Amino acid sequence: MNSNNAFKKLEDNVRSVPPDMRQKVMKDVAMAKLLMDFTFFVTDNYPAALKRLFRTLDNNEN
Amino acid sequence: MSKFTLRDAISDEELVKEVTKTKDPEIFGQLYDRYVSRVYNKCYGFSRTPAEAEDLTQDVFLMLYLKIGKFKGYSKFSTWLYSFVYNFCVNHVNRNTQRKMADRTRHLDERDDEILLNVSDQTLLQLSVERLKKAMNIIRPEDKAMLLLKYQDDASIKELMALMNLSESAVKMRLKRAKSRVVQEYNKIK
Repeated sequence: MNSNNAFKKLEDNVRSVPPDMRQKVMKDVAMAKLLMDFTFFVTDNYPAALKRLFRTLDNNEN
Repeated sequence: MSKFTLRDAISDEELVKEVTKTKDPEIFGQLYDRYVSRVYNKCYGFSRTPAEAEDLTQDVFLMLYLKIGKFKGYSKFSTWLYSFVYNFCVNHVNRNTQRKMADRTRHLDERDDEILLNVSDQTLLQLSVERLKKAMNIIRPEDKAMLLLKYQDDASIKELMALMNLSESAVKMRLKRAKSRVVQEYNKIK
């Protein structure tokens, strides 16, 4: 119903997205994913791995 | 073969669920492809230069990737996304010190006892596009976002209530204020 809605008509003059935008966004996203994976490793896996290591050492001492 | 290769057969909501679960950039890329044009053009509406719109769009998509888990399905994904974009743009505009100063000057006449015009939807939708465009660039970005969500993106009152975490009466009051303000600015434009 664009013909009856001035707000919809505001969108009529669509500008093209710069062609290199996708590459930039996906690069940012890949970096964010890497950081999230790293954070997960440090905050979740790493302490668990340390705990397991100390448990193993304790067991060996006993 | 990935089950997400048949892009058009998959709803936005399913894609979002997968991105939230897997954080897979490739699946996120499919959402990007669906919405980049509208997001870019919305950002353009809050920017002064194409370069600013480009930076804003890039930042919006990165933030979307990080916050996509916040979509809970209380509205259509597209409505939630546009609200997310407007919030980002409004914050961007308000952070801009120069604009803040300009806005302060422009809104000197804003008071608690502001006189609100009663503007019907029919009147609003039939305004002249060129003058409306100018008026939209004068009003506060928060009012502009509210009007765009309601009248350009077809958000229902219920969706606005969920998106803004406001009561029905608060949403209607904000809409009323935004409509009144845009029409008052519109009437000043020759």
